[in-house]
Amino acid sequence: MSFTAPSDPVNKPTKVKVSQLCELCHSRKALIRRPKNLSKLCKQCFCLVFETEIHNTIVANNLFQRGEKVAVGASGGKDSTVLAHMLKLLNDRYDYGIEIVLLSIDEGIIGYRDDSLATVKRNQQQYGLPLEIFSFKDLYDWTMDEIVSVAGIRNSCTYCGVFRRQSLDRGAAKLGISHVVTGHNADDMAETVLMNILRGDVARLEKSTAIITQSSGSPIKRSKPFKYSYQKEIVLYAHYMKLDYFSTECTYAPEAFRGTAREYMKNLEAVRPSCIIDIIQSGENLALKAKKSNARKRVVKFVDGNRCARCGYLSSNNICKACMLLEGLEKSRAQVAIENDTSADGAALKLRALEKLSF
Amino acid sequence: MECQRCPASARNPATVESRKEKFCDECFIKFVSTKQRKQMMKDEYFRNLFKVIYPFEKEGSVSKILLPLSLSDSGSLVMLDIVHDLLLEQTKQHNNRTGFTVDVLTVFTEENVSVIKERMESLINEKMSQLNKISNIFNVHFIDVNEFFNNASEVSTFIIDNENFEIFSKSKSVDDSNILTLKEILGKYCLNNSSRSDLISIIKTQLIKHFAYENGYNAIMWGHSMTKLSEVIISLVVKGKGSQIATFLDSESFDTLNNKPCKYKNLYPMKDLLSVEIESFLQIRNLAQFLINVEETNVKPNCLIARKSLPSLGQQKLVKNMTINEITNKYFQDIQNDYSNIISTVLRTADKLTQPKSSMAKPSQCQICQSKIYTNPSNWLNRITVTSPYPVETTEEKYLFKQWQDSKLGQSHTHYVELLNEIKQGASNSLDVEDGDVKLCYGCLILLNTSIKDKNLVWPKVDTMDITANATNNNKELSQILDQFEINSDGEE
Ligand code: SF4
Ligand SMILES: [Zn+2]
Ligand SMILES: [Zn+2]
Repeated sequence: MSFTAPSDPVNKPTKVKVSQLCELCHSRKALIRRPKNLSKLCKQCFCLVFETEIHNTIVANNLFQRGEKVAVGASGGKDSTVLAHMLKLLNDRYDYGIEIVLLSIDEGIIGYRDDSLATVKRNQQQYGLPLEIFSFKDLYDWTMDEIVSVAGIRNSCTYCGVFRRQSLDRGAAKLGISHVVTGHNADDMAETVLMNILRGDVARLEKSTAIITQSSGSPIKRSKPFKYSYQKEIVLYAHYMKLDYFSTECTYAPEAFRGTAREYMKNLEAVRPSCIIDIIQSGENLALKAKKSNARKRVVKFVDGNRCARCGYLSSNNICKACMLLEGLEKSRAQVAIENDTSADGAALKLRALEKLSF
Repeated sequence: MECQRCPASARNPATVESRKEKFCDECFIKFVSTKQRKQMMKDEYFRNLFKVIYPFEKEGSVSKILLPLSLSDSGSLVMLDIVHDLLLEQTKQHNNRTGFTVDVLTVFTEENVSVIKERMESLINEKMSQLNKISNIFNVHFIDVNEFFNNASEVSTFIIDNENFEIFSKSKSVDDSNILTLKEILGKYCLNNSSRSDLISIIKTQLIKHFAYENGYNAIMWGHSMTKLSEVIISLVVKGKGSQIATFLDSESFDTLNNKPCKYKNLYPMKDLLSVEIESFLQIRNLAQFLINVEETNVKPNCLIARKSLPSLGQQKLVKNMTINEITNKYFQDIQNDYSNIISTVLRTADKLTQPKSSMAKPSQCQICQSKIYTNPSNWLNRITVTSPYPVETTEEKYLFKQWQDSKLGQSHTHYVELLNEIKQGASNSLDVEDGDVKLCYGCLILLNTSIKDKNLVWPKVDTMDITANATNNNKELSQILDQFEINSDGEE
């Protein structure tokens, strides 16, 4: 008989063998092998360790200032849901003295973002945090579904990334917040380090592991408290804490090349679980030869408010990236409108329907 | 299909297709050789090394090149073939004189010693006999991999404290009773193939570099193809050794070994060649017969038009049994078709790297892999990993904790805990242990922490290896240190 029904631990003699105990507290049954280093931990130790590591990261990097208003980029997905929960918890536990706001961007992806935003709205209730939603449609008069219908699915993440980045900035600025916290985790970070080398993206190589970034031209500071947190541990933590998150993938799946890097990392993890932080350690120690002076240029802080000639958004160029993409989109829209009159709404849904048909 | 390189008047049929171009055998051989020679002439230092300098009597006019040959690696064999042709060419043009001499160095193990020597002999006899007749241009050396352990008078035991990732070590002197062997290291300490291959590769590299250092070579020619280099680069990143990439690729500076400057630079003459090109060269030149560990049925991917055989897709290894380098190799093979320029991109990117800024109080070298240490790895890991428990609260928890305390596990009787305490104690008693000395690089710390049994490893102390500072006249010591025997013009045996 191997199954023992859960019972009142005080009265029943225990069946836990010493060898099954948590490696840290030696007093509770180990429930998981920690993905980061395979140590056997009980639920309580795992959660405490996970929380404390994030707290340590926050303190060591001096991420927050007392009195600071911080926006959590909340998508309803596991990373940002755990992040919102975590910041609230740590802020209470360690008294950072920060004010937390949930900031969501509605990209306009039917069948994905509308559902995940519903999750964010529940989170708002659950955590009692203010929530602000800004939409691509309001800011740019384009939804992602419309963008995909004219620009194609292949480039979806490029558009989405540029617009979301700017939307978060604009949203934060409107709320008078100058610090946006995002749920990028160690896996994302490691993947980025690898991708930058595989694609030869020299310009991003050195700063790809920075925990705080401030893109030139942006008054908004961004930080990544989950920089060293394994995705699997975030999922486990959400599970143990019974957090309510939305787990469907975006309809416009990430680009194929990123997918190959992910698969590669999965294999590496099977051989050496520490590889994710190992890659980050490597990434922190990549330095470029000093050759051309443009490496210097990037370091120079945005001085004196160059603004996009079109939208007035801070930009190092005459016209900001978003406006450039928009210009291209407007041209295509004019053309598409003539050629084809079907509404672009729900392009994702349509694509999905097509996928199902082909099976 | 015709070769696109032959003169228009007499085009041979094409046999190889690479980089969107078609070649006949002859033009392809030339294409590969030219790529290699271009790297050998990449800067003034190397141009002067390889060219014939008059007058010959002048000291240093003939440079000494070390060429590590691995018979399980096509790159170094093809490189040797091309270097051999270059030497022959020079002897013809300069009346049996050459600008450089080549010493081929092969590291063997107990298991493959006989097959290696047999293959090497047939290689010399069948392919290089002509050059071999001219004395002193071309020598062959063998080293037993165990020489790495045999010639150190002291070894250190390194252990990682599982609470704060600090590294403790203890040294002891070596006598006949406790000489380490590779077999022991791989069998007793390594928990997986990846750690085995990492340690073997560290040992081989160290042996080769020591050999070069002691004998005053001017350059080591490594046989890495562009493909292999990219694999190594990505693998270094994956293993937490990203900081070492710049030093690994550096062919501009003289190497350093155990903090001492060397007289040689490292050169990668095959770095412009893809592995498929090298495999094709190997087939055309009929060199595959000299390789070991290569079954005839399993010809590696190449770019011959009439492919002799496709890579077998059957019996693939389980990922868990693969090494990190093998997984990386597989990744590159999988994406090669869809993203063909990845390999060159990786190498081009890595070539733009330099050594990171060091945050260390004083320069330190890893006592296992000998690479420079730029950040304290224990501190870094400790900052991002918490190892303190959630408090013991309920009655049952207290009861279980007591049980654990009373048990063998709780009484610290495990081998690991005993060893850790012993070494820690030794470290605090001994006077010659400098505090704050960082002993291992991050990559080696992680290796011990994750892939070595009980997080401890015994390793020869490099500074006790019998190496003289002046390597020009130490042949006597050398012969003691290295089991070296030459097959030279006089035809040994
Ligand atoms: S996967 Fe791409 S398109 Fe979908 S939300 Fe993410 S960035 Fe946007
Ligand atoms: Zn525990
Ligand atoms: Zn090392």
